[in-house]
Amino acid sequence: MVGGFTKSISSFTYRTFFKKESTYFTTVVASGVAFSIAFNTMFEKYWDNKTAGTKWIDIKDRYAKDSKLGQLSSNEALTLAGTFHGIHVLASRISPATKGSQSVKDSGIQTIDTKNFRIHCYQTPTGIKFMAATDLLETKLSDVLVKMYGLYSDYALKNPFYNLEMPIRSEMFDSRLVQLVKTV
Amino acid sequence: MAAKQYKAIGEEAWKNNVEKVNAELFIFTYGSLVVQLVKDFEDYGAVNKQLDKMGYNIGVRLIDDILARTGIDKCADFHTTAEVVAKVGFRVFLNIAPAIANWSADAKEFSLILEDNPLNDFCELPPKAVQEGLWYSNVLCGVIRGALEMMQMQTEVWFVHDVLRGDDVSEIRVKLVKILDEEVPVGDE
Amino acid sequence: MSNTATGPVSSATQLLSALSLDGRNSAEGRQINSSALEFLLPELVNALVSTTLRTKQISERIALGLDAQEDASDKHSPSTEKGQEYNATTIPGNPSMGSGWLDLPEDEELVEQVCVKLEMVGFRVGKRIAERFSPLSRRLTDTLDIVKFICKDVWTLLFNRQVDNLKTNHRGVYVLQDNKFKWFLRMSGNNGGAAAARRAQPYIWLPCGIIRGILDSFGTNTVVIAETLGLPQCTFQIKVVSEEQMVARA
Repeated sequence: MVGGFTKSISSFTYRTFFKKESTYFTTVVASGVAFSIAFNTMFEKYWDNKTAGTKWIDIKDRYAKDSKLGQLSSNEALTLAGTFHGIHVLASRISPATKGSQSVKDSGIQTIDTKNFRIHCYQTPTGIKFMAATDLLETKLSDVLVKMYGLYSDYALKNPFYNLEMPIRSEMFDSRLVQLVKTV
Repeated sequence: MAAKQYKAIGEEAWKNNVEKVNAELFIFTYGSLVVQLVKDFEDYGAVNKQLDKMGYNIGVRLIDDILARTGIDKCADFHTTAEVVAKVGFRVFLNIAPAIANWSADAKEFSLILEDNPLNDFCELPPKAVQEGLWYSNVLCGVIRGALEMMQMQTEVWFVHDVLRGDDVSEIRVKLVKILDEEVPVGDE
Repeated sequence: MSNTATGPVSSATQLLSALSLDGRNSAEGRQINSSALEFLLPELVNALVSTTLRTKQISERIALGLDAQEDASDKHSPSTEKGQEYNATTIPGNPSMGSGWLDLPEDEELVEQVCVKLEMVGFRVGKRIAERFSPLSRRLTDTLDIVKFICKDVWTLLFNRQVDNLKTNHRGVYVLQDNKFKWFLRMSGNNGGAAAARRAQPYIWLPCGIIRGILDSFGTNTVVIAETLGLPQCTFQIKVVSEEQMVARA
């Protein structure tokens, strides 16, 4: 599906991701301190695979008003998400776990820890990734991320104005997302 | 075992996680749409194609709705896929559960037998439409194809029989062409 | 315009007793997921945009003396191609299977054609709804009664809620206001009302057609138009048209 690639690390990396002729994912990043998660940066993006190379064609950076912590510029956020994607795919292939003679298919990285905080990722079976950054006290955020998936389904996919593979431009989606994050 | 589990998931989602509405508006809107397409295309083959395409567009969106509501993960094999399509997909959206039948020997093709297709309610096809090959509910094929493609399965989906055309049953054939993601093993059980 | 007719609360009981659906109520009918229609509607609109463009292109080809059918369904008029760029509608390698939607054409005439078609789709739906759900116990002859039937029973059947407000001038104009019109509930952009209202435009014509279709089934000719002051609010205006006016129009 990825034309023009030699059998290099690149095609290896992206093969899973570009399982469809073209695909996309949505990433949401929140960042927080202490017990409450202060809502911080949020962005969505669109991964374009029209040519053999890849590029981000759009990004949005919002909700940066609440806190000065953990802010990323648009480009930085993109770099993070793009790099993470590659690692996510590769990591799922190096699983040593086996069941009988078959290696167990792995769903990829779910959390990454730093000294002070943790990045959570939930990947849907259709390949969309929902991500959030929290402090280390949040051990399991998958419930929230699954709820974000629900919001995506209800307020992006069922919004007649939302074209697939485009950034989500919906005030309704945004406000529900903020509501959801405030419950954490 | 697995079959029962998906039946339960489908029913649970239908009961507790779905806003239900009278089917008529959907059924009539769909019917009126088909009429309009027949007028616009003046060619039943083109209408079939258009309906399939619309279904595909619906399927690629609808799949996420099903997954988000039910928490179902990737299917281990095509048998499981068939179960999920019939017992979860159809149940959650149309509140029906088609029977799965006629597996091919290589386990890459199966049929969905729709005993009760809501789209057919109140519908009678004019003889001309039957003669010239209109598959009235062709949108369903597109939906299945679109949804499965998002799950890394490239499929061909088509109607084999339709009660609206005088057949005894309505039967949709689903054929797995290839797995788009090589990581998912299929039919090796 | 006097505000004589009923708010939904005041007369609901009275009205429902008057207009029973003779047992053909929602409990008995088939139920499906309301999202099924939510997924279908944009496809419906998109399909009609594409057939309208196709028709236009065919007639252009005929005007140029070319073969009418050739490639007609696969190409789009220049205005659409522009939209397509923006929309990223096509998936590489499989151009016929784009999962995105066409933008509304910039050509207002084409938009109108799309809306006329949508209205007709709605009209046929309205006829069939009237056929299936009209109350048998009492023949509806008064237009106000029919409109009330639409506001309460039909709306409840179709949208699980009633119209919020109904006004009439008692001279053949009825205004229905739904503050949370179901089809608009999930419509949202982030570039303000005007753009959203334009994109919502086709979705208004379908219910207009439904309302007109129902009234037509009861022998009342009407013109139904609608506007939104801001999603998800929607106001429908029904205007009864006399026979003479119909003839004059024709």
